[in-house]
Amino acid sequence: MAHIEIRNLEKSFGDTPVLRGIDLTIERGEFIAVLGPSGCGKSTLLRIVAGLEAHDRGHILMDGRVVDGLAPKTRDVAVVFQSYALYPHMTVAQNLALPLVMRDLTRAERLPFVRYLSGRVRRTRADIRDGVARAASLVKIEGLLDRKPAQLSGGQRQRVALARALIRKPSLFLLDEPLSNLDATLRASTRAEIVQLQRTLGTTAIYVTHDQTEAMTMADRIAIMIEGRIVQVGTAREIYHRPTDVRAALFIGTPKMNLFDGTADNGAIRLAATGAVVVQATGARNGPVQIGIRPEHMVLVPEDPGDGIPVATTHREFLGSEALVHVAVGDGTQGTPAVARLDPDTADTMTVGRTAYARFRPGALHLFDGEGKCLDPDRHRPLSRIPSAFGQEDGASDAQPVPRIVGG
Amino acid sequence: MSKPPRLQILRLVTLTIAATVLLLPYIYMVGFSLKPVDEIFAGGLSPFPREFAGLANYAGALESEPLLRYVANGVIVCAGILFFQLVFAVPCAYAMAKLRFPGRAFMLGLVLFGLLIPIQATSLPIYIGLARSGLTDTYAALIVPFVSSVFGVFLFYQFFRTIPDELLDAARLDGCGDVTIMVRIVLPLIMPAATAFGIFSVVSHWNDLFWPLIVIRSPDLNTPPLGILAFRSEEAGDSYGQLMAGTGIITAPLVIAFLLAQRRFIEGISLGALKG
Repeated sequence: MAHIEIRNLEKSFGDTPVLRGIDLTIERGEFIAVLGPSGCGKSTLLRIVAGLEAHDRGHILMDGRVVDGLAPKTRDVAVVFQSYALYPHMTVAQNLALPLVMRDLTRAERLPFVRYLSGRVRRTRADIRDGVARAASLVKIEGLLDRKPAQLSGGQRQRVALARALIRKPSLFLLDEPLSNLDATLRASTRAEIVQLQRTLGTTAIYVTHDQTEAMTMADRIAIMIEGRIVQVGTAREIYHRPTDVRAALFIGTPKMNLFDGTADNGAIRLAATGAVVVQATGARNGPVQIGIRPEHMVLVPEDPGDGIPVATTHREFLGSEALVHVAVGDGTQGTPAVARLDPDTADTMTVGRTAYARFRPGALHLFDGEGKCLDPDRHRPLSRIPSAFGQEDGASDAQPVPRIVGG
Repeated sequence: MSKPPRLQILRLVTLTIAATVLLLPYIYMVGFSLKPVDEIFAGGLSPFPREFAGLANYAGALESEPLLRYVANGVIVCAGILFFQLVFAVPCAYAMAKLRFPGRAFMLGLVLFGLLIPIQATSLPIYIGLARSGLTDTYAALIVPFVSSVFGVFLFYQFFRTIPDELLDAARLDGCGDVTIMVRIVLPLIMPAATAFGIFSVVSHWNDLFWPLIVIRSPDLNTPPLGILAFRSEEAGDSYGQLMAGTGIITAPLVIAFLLAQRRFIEGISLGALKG
């Protein structure tokens, strides 16, 4: 169990900067997911923490001790690789035993026949066998110990890789997209197992993934990493409901958050496509803004309630418990695309090709400035009265605290 | 096994014919080595002797020339060459496949270029070099020119590229140093490639006539092909049975070695050992 602190970490490959100043603190026993699109540098970050790659600037501290430049084996970390990286010429038991053999026996003691000469070596070898059996039972692969990796299924290999990582009881687990080679069903069940395993062992874990579902379901906290920077760290709820950066907002949530161009004009936030004022944000600096709203907060009605924004309905998807209605806002079907998540009955009242009317729940609006930063994410002042054009949708949104709308 | 039987039979027949054509000289060699001289000259296509003279032929061959000495020379030279080739080619290929350093692509280009140069092209300067350093007519003259094998570097380079980096990273995390990684992970994995390369190397140097002919003068250092040459010129005339017996003795070690290693050899050429 280790406390990890990453300070201003930078790394370039040649002229290409990969990590541009990463700061991240991970508490003892915490399960943190580093979530980002491929190529954002998250695997490089993991390799640097493991000691497999050197960084250019910054520091990594484990339990307050700087570990920069230390070899991987002295850092007491274990990695589960995407490809599992099992040794193909060794049996499962030998794969699991190798980390213990390397740690507990000296070079001379590892020679093949020494066990017949030294009682100590014999006892250590017996301990290693016990360790292998324990680790195997933790991930339920007791029956596979004599097989070679080529004789195992993907899920079984994945378990062996997990067992090999936990057998040494490392102080830090690093998992590099360990589920991406599994089929969907197996992935869902393995997610839960990995989390349980990590809770049981209490080991600090960093889990790198590009899959938001994995990050949201497994991790205590998520660090969203984009283009070599961490744009937001928080629980899944925090990031979903209060994204501090437009890129984090877009990365979490399916379908993506709808985003419209807008302008701030003396506190009035206008939708660029229609010119309608959607909300008052006193103090927002005049200039371009982006207006975000999650699909479930976008309300569509077939008839104009008098204060709706006309949108063109382009497509409808029935998903069972819900339905997605795709619309274009402004400029007919060529307008900004947006998605509304509705209950299927409401969605049925919308006809593709016809105009519907959108209302945004004001309390659920997210405003981002020209650089994509949330306009004052920390202030939770309720909106001043919703402008006349937009009534409150229903009582529910009234009850919600109204976040992050007001700029400073 | 689900192939239609007719196709199977066709395939079997084709392969059998091809194998027979390739093996025919060898079969006749063995056949002649078992026949007395008059039967060889009597003609006839049957490779089987009517009168068994194998014992006399083989004994005669071993008596008239130190064939076993030639075989031993062949073993020494081939083992020496293979040993040094592996010592140089494996680390070189590993570095080019797995380490990043400036000039890597250029060096790989040089290796590929080296594949294009036949030994005949460089034989004169190498001979002069050996002669100046007084090494002609020694084992060293037979071994030194071949210790660096660009073919070996290329073969191992291709093979190392199939070993995923994550495997070596995993070993590093499991506490292995570079030597341990080499011994415990890399060497077991490259065994098929090493076997394949070993057979290529041993076959070509065992059968090489060109180079030993240039650098060897004393009969004591004769390699197997030189031995056959010596045998033929000295015993020229009618002792074909003995000549064939001598040839049989000299080619036998290769055949045996290939039969023993053939499974790994095929794995090595197909480079599929790391799948899955």
